[in-house]
Amino acid sequence: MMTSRNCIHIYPEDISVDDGSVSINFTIESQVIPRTLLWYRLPDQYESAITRTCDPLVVGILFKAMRTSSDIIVHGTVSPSLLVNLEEFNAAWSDWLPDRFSNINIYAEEEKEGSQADTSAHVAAFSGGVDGAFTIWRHRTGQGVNRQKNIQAGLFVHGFDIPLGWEVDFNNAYRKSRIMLKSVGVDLIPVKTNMEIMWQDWLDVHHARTAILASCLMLLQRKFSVGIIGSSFPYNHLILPMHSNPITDRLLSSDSFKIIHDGAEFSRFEKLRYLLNWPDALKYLRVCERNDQRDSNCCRCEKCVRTILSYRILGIGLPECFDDDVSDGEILKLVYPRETPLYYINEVIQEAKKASISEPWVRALEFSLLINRVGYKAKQVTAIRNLFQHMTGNL
Amino acid sequence: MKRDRKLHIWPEPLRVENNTIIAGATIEAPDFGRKSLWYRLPVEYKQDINLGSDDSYLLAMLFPAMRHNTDILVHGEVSPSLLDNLQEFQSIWHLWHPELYTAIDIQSEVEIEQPKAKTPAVLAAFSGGVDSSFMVWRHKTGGCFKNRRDIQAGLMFHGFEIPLDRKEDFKRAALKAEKLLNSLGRGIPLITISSNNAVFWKDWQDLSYGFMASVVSGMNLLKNGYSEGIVANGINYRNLSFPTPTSILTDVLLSSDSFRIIHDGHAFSRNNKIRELANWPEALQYLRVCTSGDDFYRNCGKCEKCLRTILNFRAVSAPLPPCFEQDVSNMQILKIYVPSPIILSFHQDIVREAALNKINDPWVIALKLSILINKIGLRAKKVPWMRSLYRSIVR
Repeated sequence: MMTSRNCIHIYPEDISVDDGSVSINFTIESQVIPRTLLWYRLPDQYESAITRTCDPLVVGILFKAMRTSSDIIVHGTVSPSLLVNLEEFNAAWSDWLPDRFSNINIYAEEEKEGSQADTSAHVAAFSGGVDGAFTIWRHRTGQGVNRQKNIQAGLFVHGFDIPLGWEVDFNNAYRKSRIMLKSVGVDLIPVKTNMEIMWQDWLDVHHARTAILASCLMLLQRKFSVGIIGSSFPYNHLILPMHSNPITDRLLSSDSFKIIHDGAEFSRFEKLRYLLNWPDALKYLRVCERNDQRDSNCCRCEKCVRTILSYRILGIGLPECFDDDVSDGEILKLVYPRETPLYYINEVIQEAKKASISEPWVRALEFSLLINRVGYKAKQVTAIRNLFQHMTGNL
Repeated sequence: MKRDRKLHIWPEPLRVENNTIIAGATIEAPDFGRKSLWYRLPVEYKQDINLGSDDSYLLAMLFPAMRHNTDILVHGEVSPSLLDNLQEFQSIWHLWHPELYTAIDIQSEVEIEQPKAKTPAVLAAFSGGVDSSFMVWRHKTGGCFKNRRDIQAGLMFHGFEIPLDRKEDFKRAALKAEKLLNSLGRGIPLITISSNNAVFWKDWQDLSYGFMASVVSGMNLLKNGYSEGIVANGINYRNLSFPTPTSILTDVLLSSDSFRIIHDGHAFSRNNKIRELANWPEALQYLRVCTSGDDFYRNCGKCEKCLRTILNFRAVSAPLPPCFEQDVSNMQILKIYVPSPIILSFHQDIVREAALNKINDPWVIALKLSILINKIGLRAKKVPWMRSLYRSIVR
């Protein structure tokens, strides 16, 4: 376990139960990170489902270690099969982004496979969005899938897109999502975590988010044998590197808990088409991550707008989960956030054309795509970037 | 969607003839009539053959069935975990090449998981080329940290890149591969297997895309003795783009719970691999990279792959290895024809590696020029009249 590099030490702490919730705590410490307590909290009824290994935290902290070129030293138990997979995971990310992520080693005081759930029950990440909703819908109803997976629960993480402290927003969003899942006979488990305090830079958070999500799913490996993450991009339009992708997501698995990347055989538009059959989805979908209120859709951001427009193409008008429709002027003024690939907008335009829709909003969207494409290119030239930022004001 | 067209797989009992075991199945389908699919391997491996499972025959017939839009019915036993994975596998290929491959329905008279091999031994697909040689070298000499695999045997195929009627060529190629494997530690045995799987392929596209499924089908036969199969790849993560015939994305989906496929080598560029292999005297002598020459057992020294490998050695400052009879001239470099963008990225890697090693010889300039010419050629390929013009010039 000797290493001459920076090291992040992980010390598992006792699991504590208090006021109806169970808290799984770890202390981390390194030359570059002060002594910090990281925790996950969930309702105490799931205490028996929680793994006693340090697998979840190793997965959750991996990007931080790769970012700071630190080996990880675990003063506890880690599954050897997970360590094997993480070596490949690490290799992929350090080859994709060598300036950002380094190759590191992970050492554990004890290497032992975690105890496996004695059922084939699956738990799926779910925050009320399109990808998670589609995954649960298709496996519960058998629509769009030949071999259904046994999804028994969804897992909603608080501490990501809804920051800790935004209790009202989280409770509302959780309530809506719970109604959705209840209608297909699936339980929804809320998990809070403070893992995000390790990050300052938005891009680091962006890269690490799927690993943190997987780490939350992994917590429950004594009750579930598989964790499912809904795909973001279809196989024929894979964008690499991307925080969630079918290559590296499954490398977050161990022999006792498998992570599956699900639904990449469908585009976002096709997923929305399937979701038309789920009335509660039309009522409670939550796609927005930019609203001041995180429990609802702002109806103005790029993600809201492209979802609204997709529903227009599908011929159902404005679904109930959106309060306001979008005007052509608003489409024209759209500024895409930097992490949004232009692919999504292009997909909406192509689907509109396939449906022979030639209304002004399609041209507005095409024009908006053109402007943003120029903006993306311009960002690569400093002077133009400054000018563009000055003009748009909010990049 | 179920079809009326069915491809039937009728497994046949094992036979022993002249110290050779013959395993196989009778295939019956509208496009093939009634044909035999067979595998032959030395009788000493009889105890490694799994008699219960028909996963191998399913894997062998998957691409032909997808190509001919025919459902598969296996009159035997198939692993449900393989069926789960093949559903995803087919979806990927259908999305990548909808004009070639359909996602078909696969049914089996019995779905049952097979027991795993009693010992956790790993079988490596081995051709004696750069990727598979590097793979066994690194796993045998400590080039891995946690993901070191206990490779117990290499498996070399006859009937794919070396046609079945070129028996003498295969014998000589296998002898070289055997010498390579024998030189490692206590030696790794080489198992040779021949199969007529290729008779079911329609054209070069099936050969290219279906090759790995056929390799895995042969490996799967031996799952009584081996719990995992490991396959090598030539493209590193950074250069990965899809569709590609073999990659970590699709190859691992050829796994079942009883026989897992490990994909190895995406984390290393070809230059890195060659740098390591330069320390292995037997590799310098017996490497076989060529698939275009008249003699299948040796390197022609003239094709793109041979020339590229020679330049890989130059780029890492290693001398011409004895496995190549002659060196390459600058004129030959200038005339290299690069068939695809992925191959072009390999050439660009060579230039980058040469620059890192401060090599400014005239061959580097010749290679840069060749890259430029090929870049134009690849662009031109997208326009039909330019493609014809380019082809006539190249010819």
